[in-house]
Amino acid sequence: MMPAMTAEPMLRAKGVNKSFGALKVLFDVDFHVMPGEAVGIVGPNGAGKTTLFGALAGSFPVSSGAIQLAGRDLSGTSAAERCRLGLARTHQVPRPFLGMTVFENVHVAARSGAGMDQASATATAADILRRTGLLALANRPAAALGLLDRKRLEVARALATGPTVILLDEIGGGLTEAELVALVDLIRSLQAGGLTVVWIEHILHALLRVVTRLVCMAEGRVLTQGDPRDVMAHPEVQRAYLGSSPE
Amino acid sequence: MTPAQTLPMAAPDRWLIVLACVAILALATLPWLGSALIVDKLIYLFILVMFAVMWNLLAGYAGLVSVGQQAFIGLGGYALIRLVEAGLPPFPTIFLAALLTGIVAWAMSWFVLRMKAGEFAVATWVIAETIRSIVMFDPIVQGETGTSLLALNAYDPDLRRMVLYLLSLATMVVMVWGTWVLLQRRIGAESQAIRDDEDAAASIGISTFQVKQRIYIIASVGCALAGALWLASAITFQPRTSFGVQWSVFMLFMVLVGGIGTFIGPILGALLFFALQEIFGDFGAWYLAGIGIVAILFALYLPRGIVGLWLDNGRAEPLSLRKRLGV
Repeated sequence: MMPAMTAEPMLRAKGVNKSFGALKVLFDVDFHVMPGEAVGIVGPNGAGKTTLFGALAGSFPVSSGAIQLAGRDLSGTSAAERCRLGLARTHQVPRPFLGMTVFENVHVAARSGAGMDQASATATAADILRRTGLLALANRPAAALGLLDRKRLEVARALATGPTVILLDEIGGGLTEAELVALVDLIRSLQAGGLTVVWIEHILHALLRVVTRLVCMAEGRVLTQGDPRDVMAHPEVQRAYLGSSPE
Repeated sequence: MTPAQTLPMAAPDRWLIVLACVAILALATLPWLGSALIVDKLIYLFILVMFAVMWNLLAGYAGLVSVGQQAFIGLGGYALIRLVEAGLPPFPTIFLAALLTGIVAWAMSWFVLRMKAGEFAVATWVIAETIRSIVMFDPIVQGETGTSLLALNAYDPDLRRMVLYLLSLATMVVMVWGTWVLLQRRIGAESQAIRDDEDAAASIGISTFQVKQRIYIIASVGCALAGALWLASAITFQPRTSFGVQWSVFMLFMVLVGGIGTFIGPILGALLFFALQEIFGDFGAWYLAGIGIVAILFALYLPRGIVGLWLDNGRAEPLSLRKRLGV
């Protein structure tokens, strides 16, 4: 039986503005994701996509506007608290803990982010390493990983925190076609397990196999959002991607 | 399928621990056999090990590269002087002095831990110098002159030496073992994550400030305890010596030469440093040159310290804290 539909979004940004000094990078960003939904974020470089993730995850305070997780206002909560509340993120440029092993990277995330004890964190970390294809590298130093495995580790570490919402930042770049299929399968299986997904990605054909809604950003603003085909057909999106002048 | 588990400790490590236990027992019987000179020297060695292990906990595992831990070494000694002056018995007061110094570390932590890397290092040093200057205003200390822990002279010198030796040995063992246990716990993994990437650590749910604060206070109480023990063995308290930056130089040397961020490295570094002081200590300024040359040679040829000898030969690090998944 389907649960009763609630109007409450899982994650919501309301009129979010962000300036770094004189540089304004986000302008009145409104955007939401429903529970269990997968939403893609596209847009040219410098559109403010990663900055939006930073604002959602609490890497810095927003200049104005509000961010809500399951109806709860997140202003004043630190990045660590947001993670423990169930909002996990990956970094566009992977940031592994280089002095630790692959297993330890994931293990500490399960302990701190999901509050697990040693034994459950070990079991969870092993399971996630298997699902992300890193199990054979578990006892390697994270510093020995190449870029692609570091990207996998970003995803594995975020998953180990036991999120309800995951923010994925360009995890598909550089993957082969077969690896992309495996990645898409992984994200779909996570979504099937109830995870809410927000995914910034340039590789549209992979993204569109997962998301049911698309948000297009340009120059710090949401250009348009909705059904992926409508969004991609939108004239302003075409212009933003082709880079022609808007006159 | 059996649930995934981490691998148990490797056999050589277990033998190493057995060996260490035997060595500790042998050391515990030594004051009945050895000369007063050897006992005094060993007290100093134990104190060096404590300094090295505490600085490694701070800098090697939590990335908090302080050059101001002499603030707590000095304050541990100063608190001991003051409390004994107020009529407390000297030996138990060593521990009380360390705990009180922990309150100063807690107060300082709110300020210094908001700074990063170089700023943090400089701030810790400046604060250590400031604390020294303030302590010099104390009429008991009499500025540069200093004072002595005269209450200890009331004890028979042999008994005093024996008590201090056993107290130092026990404190060192508890400190080393406690650090081992601490690093196995969640806070151990969390500090290493913060050391490697503080923002990424926050993004996986680690309360970075809280973790750094705990490690900072623990390492500072440890330094204060070692500092108070050192004062009890040296008896004379001189602000320039107790709060001297040379303590930070010693700690850096021991930890870097032994192998920073490894468990056994600082202990080996302390042994080497102790041996160098014994060999070159009589050559005056040349001794400092010798220490400097050794440091340069290590930086050039063994950047990972003595523990690097194992690692470079593809062997496992002895007493490694790395958790390995059984796959």
